[in-house]
Amino acid sequence: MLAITVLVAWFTFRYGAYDPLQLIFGAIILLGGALIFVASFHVRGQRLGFYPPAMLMYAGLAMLIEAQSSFGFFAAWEILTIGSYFLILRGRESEPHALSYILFSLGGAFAILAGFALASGGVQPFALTALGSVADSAAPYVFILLAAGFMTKTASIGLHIWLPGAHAEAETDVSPMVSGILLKAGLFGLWVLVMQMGRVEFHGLDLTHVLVWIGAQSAFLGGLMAIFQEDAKRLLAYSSISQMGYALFGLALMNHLGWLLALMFVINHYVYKSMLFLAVGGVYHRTHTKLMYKMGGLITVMPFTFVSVLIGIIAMSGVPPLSGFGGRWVFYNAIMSAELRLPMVLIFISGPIGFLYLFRLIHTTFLGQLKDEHRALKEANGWLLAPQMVMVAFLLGFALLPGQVLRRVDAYIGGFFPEGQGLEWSSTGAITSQFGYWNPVAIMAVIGVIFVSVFLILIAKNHDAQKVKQFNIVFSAERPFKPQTTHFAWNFFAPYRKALGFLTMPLVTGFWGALTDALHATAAFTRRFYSGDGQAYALHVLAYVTILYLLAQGAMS
Amino acid sequence: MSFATGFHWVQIPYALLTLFIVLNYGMFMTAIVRKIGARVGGRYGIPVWQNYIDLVKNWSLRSKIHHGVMFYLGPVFRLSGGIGLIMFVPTIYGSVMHQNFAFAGDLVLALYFVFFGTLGMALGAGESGHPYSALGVSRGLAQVTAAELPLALAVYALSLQYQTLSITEIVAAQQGGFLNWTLFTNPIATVAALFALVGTMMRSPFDVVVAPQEIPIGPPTEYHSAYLALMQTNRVIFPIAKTVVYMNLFFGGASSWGEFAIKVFAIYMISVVIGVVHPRFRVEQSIRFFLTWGMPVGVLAILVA
Repeated sequence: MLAITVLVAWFTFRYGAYDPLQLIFGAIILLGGALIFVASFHVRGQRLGFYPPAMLMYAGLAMLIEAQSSFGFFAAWEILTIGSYFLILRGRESEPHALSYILFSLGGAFAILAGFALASGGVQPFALTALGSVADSAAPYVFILLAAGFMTKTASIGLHIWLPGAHAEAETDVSPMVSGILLKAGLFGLWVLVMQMGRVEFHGLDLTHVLVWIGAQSAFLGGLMAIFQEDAKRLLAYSSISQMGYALFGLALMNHLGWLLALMFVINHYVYKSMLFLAVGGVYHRTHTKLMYKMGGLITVMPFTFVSVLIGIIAMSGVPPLSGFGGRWVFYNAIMSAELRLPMVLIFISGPIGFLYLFRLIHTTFLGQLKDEHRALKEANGWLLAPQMVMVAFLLGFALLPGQVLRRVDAYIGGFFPEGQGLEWSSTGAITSQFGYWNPVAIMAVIGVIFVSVFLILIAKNHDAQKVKQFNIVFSAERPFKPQTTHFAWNFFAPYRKALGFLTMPLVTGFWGALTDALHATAAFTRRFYSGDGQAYALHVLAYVTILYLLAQGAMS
Repeated sequence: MSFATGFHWVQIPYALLTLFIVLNYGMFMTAIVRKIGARVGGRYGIPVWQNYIDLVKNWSLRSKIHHGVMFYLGPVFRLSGGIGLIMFVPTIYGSVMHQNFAFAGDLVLALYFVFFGTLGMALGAGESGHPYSALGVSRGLAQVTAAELPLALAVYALSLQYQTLSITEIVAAQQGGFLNWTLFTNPIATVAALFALVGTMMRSPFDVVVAPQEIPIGPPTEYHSAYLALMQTNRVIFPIAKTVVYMNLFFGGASSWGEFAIKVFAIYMISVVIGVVHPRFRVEQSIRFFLTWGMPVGVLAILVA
């Protein structure tokens, strides 16, 4: 309770000082974080070591978006990393995943530290706005180091292997925190980076183009891996990789609408991913499994959770009339003025692929055959449902009136690009760009009227339809009786695996695994020096002090 | 840039008129197409009014059941998807009456709204608990991801070519002789889009999703009575709605109902002609087919655009 108050109070306190971009991130971090804390009430009794790291993480995030200098930024980064590490570590089987998370984060932090050090050239304090005036010779290296550091947080492909385990094994209310909110820290970092440094060339190669490719590949491969998961939370975790890929892609397009696209993904992804993680967590608390093929038919026992998942997947898949479509529309307008065309191939195919895993999520858990052991289940905990319902309401509102949120940011982003690339927001709800137009209110109204009319026609005719029992289905020559054998869920997209499964070979995991082995070998070698012998250590300390002294002398003279 | 203006109440009866014409046209056209298919196979085929008979029969069935809320809503989603697609795309170029509700959104809306019915249908079929329904959905979704890719690329190439996403403006740019059609100004994109047309019309060789005749498979497995009637209605208007999109984008649109009838029939026949002479692909085969043949054409289209 205290935590929620603090977050909301801090937000209202700082509200006026933020520019629109900070405001969006701030709202997601603070208000969004407070909303997720509501879900934490579902745990009865004390939770030792939950609130301190959570608040530490939020403090880090809040500091991050306000950081002015490289030191402030880096300190905030470290604080949020430590906080989130302890949060992730709380999960029952999350120890190895938390370890890989902290390893990647530390690696990322070193990259960031090195990047800032290179940029500042030893001068402290180094303002973030000075990133734009880094010498040309150092700029590409600074860009690469910082981008690599930030991309460990957004889990871009290649640096993603910590994410699925860490998100999937975390506790129910921690998953939305680390997925819906924490990933945005990396994105914010990248945002600051491209905003300050702009395009940087490295041996004639535009580095933002590299980011476009990385984003597109993350979007595609993350989605592809998500459709082959049997574990619901892992599915959502892989989908985060894909969604963050979209956002990175939009950001790296380096045009007005691309940035707006990234921002829409930031907002949308927070809402629907938190919602889905909470929903799946609620289901997990009842069924005690995360494996989707072990569930099925839960719609009758958990209708509210079903509604939240339904709205979540419609919004996420980009089907009109919900808010995901706005993202797709901005995407199409953004790529009209993009320089690269080939990465679009990957993005185009990852859209429908998102459809595949989302349908699988809702079908195999909520539709199909209800298992015998789940017949007596209750609806998920009310504290878990409450934030989900708020998010459903927000999604519907955001779908209808995106302008309320995006208008100011649109104008703000416009300051970085030439005139006339932005959107025009009319008072009737219509949104116009250079190339196309879109009227969310009209879309919602037309679809609503058609849907209701058709529904009324059906009710007029079939209002007396008889509700039948579970196994009353048309099945040739036999009568099914076991849910397990009638529920089509395991390996749901088998043909897809046959056609494209080879793309999901764990090459990256293999690479990092090999690197770890190499490190172990190196460690075993250095172990000869760290022999455990006290005298040897004393010698080391002496040598260290001597070298330090000599260096200091050299530096002074 | 000026786009179609806002809403007037008179558009509602106009839109209903469009819907009425499209529905009846679709009823006859799909029946004629089935008859052509039968003649190719050496059979006599159905009478051209067979669709009306089926519709009335299903509509008046007295025994009806349901499996739950989503099952009930599935056909509603499906038909709303079909009608909505017609409503969001201008049917007749230059006609005030048949602009429908195109002011609500551009090409992107049409592309994404296609999924509305699919999603609802899949959910409804899923709740019936029939494994064959889920199997059909799994196959259908898997196939459509690959099949839609060439279309997405073609549309991208096209919108770069015309520098707009407005369907009305794309049609306007193709007026003044058939050589101005995208078919001739951008043949590569057109070919790429035709891959998607053939792939998503639920005709052989890409019809394993519903596998007509021999096995009762696919999303409609559990549907009957008025549910099936709604779905049948959708089945005659949805292919027309999709074909209208193709017609507007690649074949110059239509400026009268006569032109509309001829063009839609001709475009639809592409998938029919291919369908009647080809055996069926398995899903992974069609995915590979689209990725090895359709995708390169699409990539070429966006590179030269």
